[in-house]
Amino acid sequence: MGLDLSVHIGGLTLKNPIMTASGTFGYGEEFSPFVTCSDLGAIVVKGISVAPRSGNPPPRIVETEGGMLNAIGLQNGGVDRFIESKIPMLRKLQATVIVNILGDSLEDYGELARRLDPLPEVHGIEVNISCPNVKKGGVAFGTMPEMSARVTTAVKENTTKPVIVKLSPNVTDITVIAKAVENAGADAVSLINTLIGMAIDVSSRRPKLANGIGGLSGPAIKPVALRMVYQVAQVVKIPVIGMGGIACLTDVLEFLIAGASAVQIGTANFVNPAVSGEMVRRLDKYLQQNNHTLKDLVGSLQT
Amino acid sequence: MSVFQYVESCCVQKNVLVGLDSFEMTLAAPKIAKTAKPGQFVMVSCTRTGRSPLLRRPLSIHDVDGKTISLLYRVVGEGTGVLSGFGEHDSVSVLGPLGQGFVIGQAKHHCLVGGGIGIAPLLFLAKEIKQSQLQSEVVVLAGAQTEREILVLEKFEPLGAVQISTDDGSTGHHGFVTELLDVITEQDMTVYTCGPSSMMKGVAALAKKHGWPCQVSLESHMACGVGACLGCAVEHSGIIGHTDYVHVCKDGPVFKAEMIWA
Repeated sequence: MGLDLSVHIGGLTLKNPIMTASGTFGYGEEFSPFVTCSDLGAIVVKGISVAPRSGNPPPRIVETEGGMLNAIGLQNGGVDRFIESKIPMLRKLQATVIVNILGDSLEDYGELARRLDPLPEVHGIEVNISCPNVKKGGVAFGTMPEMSARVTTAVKENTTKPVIVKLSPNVTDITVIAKAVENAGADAVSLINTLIGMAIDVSSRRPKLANGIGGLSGPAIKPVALRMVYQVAQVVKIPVIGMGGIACLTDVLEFLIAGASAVQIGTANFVNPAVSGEMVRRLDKYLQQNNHTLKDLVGSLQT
Repeated sequence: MSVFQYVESCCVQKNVLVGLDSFEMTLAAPKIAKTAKPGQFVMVSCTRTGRSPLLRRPLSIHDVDGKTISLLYRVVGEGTGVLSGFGEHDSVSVLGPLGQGFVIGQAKHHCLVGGGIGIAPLLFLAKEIKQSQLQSEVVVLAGAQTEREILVLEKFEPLGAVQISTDDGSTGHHGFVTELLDVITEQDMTVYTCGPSSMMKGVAALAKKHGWPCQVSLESHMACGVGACLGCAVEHSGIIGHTDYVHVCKDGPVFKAEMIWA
């Protein structure tokens, strides 16, 4: 690793632009046989809420052409259990850790930010205002610019850590939301969360997911994600973290060229649990072989 | 969970039809073979293109022999369909060994109840029981809808007594495999079962009635296989407390029966 691949997000320096996406990498430990988490730019751990959540009834996942639908329903043990049982383990991983948070109210978001703020093992917060699989909160905040801004403010007021706001693609104009959270003080935006989709079983005439609808991820959504990352990168000054169907180095490069300063790898972790670490090594090799810096690539799209 | 998990690129040594839509695939997988326990599973990449189908498929470990593992699977969809087309010298990416396997009890008698393709993980288990407890007695009850779905019984015959049932009476007992279990009179016995959910529920109920400890091996669609995606949730019987669901990949696939059906 000869090159400087570092990326700055607010006051945080990532050693490289390869991150893992929330909900696809557990709390890091699940992947430790395959990836040295401290080699990654950051790991974004499974979303946490104030109180524990059971999640949705099964079936929760279904494979579709080039991707998958999920309706996990934000299952998590709540912030108390996270601090008690996951933080000591995350300390041992020595990774740069971003914690994804979600709530039903502004107060929830504020409280989560406040609880995480004193923990040295937490390096940043990613605010989930875009999960499609819960009835209230989540995506409801993320589809309205004013509410997105207020959630961002509620988090910023309760933490000194860098705040990344994760945007929903299920909106008419994602740039309006991106600008709203930037103006409210977000240090970065990450996009896209999953696209709302559906799959139907013909014989039973029922949805394949118990929840009826779910979030589509995987290679099938990459063109949509690239378009949105490009659009958002044109209108905000804060770093854009791109994700959506990244599975190989070419995908990573496409997002960087579109304007992403860093990327998150999601569904590909399920296909190849070692993929995130491999992407760091391949990006480094690519830049060296082509005599590029990371800066040369980011936002270099020729139009 | 074991930290001895690997992604191995495995050379196919054999992939042959062994019954109705069912195949046995033997793979060179030295790392997985070395650490696998009966009841554990692997996630198999069932693709020739690298992209479709996207997700790996969870398959139980049927047998381990030296540096190879074998998988017994039934073609039920796109993934297993592609897998059945692999031939000698093809390479398959395998992630494993995964999950919590069977816990071999201290009982004198061990009853293994398989339904259809659910017989798959019971061979490795039967071998381990015979190896770890020389004095133990193994009985295998294999149920299926019809004779052609009764698989690989000849492999069990050196390990213990084998009884068969079929729904249509084409071979063995005409009826359900649970009827064979219910007439067993041994007291000091552990029951291990894998098969359709309705069958395992029946087995668990009988085990409870007779006072036999019982372990059930569940199946689920999965994305990751390592406890990250939380896609393979199943409701449990309520004795665990802090959550409404357990996960087949990490908490299982083998559970004490009472954890799932009270």
